[in-house]
Amino acid sequence: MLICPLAILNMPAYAEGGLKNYTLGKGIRFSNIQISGYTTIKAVIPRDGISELALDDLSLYMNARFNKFLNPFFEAEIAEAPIYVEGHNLFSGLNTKFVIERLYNDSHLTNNVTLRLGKSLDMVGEWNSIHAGPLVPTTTRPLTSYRSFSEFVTGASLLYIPDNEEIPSITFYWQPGAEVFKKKSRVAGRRFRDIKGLNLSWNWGFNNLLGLSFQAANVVNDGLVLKENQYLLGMNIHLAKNGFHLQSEYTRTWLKNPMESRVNTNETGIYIQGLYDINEKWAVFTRYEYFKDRDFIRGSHNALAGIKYNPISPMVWKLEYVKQWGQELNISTGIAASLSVLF
Amino acid sequence: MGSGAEYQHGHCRIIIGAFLMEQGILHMARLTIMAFLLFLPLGMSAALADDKLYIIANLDVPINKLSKSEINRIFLLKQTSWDNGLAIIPVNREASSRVRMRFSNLVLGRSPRSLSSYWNQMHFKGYMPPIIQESDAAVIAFIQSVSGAIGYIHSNKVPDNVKKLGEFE
Repeated sequence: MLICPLAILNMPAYAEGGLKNYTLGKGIRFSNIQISGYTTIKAVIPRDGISELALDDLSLYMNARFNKFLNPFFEAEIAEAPIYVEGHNLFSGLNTKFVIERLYNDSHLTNNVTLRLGKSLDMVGEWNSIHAGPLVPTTTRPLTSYRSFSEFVTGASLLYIPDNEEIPSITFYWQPGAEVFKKKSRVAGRRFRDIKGLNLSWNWGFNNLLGLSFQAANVVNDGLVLKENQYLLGMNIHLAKNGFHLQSEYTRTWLKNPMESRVNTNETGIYIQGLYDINEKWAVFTRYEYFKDRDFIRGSHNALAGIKYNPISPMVWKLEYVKQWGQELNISTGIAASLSVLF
Repeated sequence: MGSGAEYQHGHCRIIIGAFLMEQGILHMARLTIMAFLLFLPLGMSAALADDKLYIIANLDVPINKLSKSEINRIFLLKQTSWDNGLAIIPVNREASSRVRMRFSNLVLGRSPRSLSSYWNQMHFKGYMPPIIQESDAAVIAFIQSVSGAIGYIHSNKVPDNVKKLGEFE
């Protein structure tokens, strides 16, 4: 099947072993096409609520490098498919669709500048751009990493990656109109359109990162396009030394022409998280987060602590205890655990 | 009787002598094996130390030399095309390889484990991680035949039909 397209694109045909020498976590590579994926099974046992075991993500992604201008990337996934919900039969309520999460092409205009066209991940914060279960530190996703902005951008992005660490990576992005291949929103009824943004990221010493984000968007509430616009300022930092990782994200959002029902004309989120690698397999982590939503009077607090175990590199098991107080948003007090595998 | 006793005594001496000789040979053999096992890694290290880490590329690659920071940029997927637009195809060795360990520490300045984690993250962000080849011979054959390919080998000479872009002791 690959022979014809490869011939058309005048590409060298080579394989990395294909299925024969498959190694877990490395995907399958045929010539310049790589197919990989990940899956996460998540269990949530809230103190006051219904326990659930779910297939949190089953994602398949493919990227290809044909030439300087044709480098497509595609990701499709099944998300939040319940396996067992307390009080229900196994697999009851399973009504999950396969959704296209990312679909874009990268054209490398110069060694440092890339034009990305299509649907890609929003650049606000570190968590949203690397949100795969096996690659994130905790099972519970911080509210700050998704509530105030669209997780995806459909349109054009211009990425600049500098030659040295003193200059930041710069990304401009623009989404005219609405998102394509809409996924179920994590915040009921809240969506964004006409998104314009800028992200600056300073990377140094391999794992260290400082990011600054600015974004303007039009807010859509329950499918209604509003006059309400929002302006977001985001900051994120990741410092790593001797097995210790300190990560934090902060967003502040201002609303212009807010809906009458809004309780606040701004929204604030911040979390600070520490992770320590005890050895190559075990790590411990803790986090505190505060989030003040636009629609609720009270602020929401949550804190968690847990352990992470990598029996083999592409497989991660996490167990954490979460304490939530103040306004309850998408996080509840209780235990959360997950098993994630890159394949 | 006397001669019989002498015979018996002599026979016993012969047996004891043969036994001691056998033990001596066994002892020598053990020492030799132990010495071999003990010094084999040193010998291998010495052999590796004599060889150089060569950065090699396909003949189509439009440059003749790369600095350590440029190699870093390529293997950390920050530069994805050569100056003439040809796609860069970095080639890595398998995770358990001693050469990969040496390349990771000496050239990229990171542990293989942290690099694996980095490539997983970059792959999720849409970048192609380096392709794996499981021997120096496979790396050479790949680089000889694939335009834009760049990799590293441990050798005492630069192979034919590839371009040397750098070397490290």
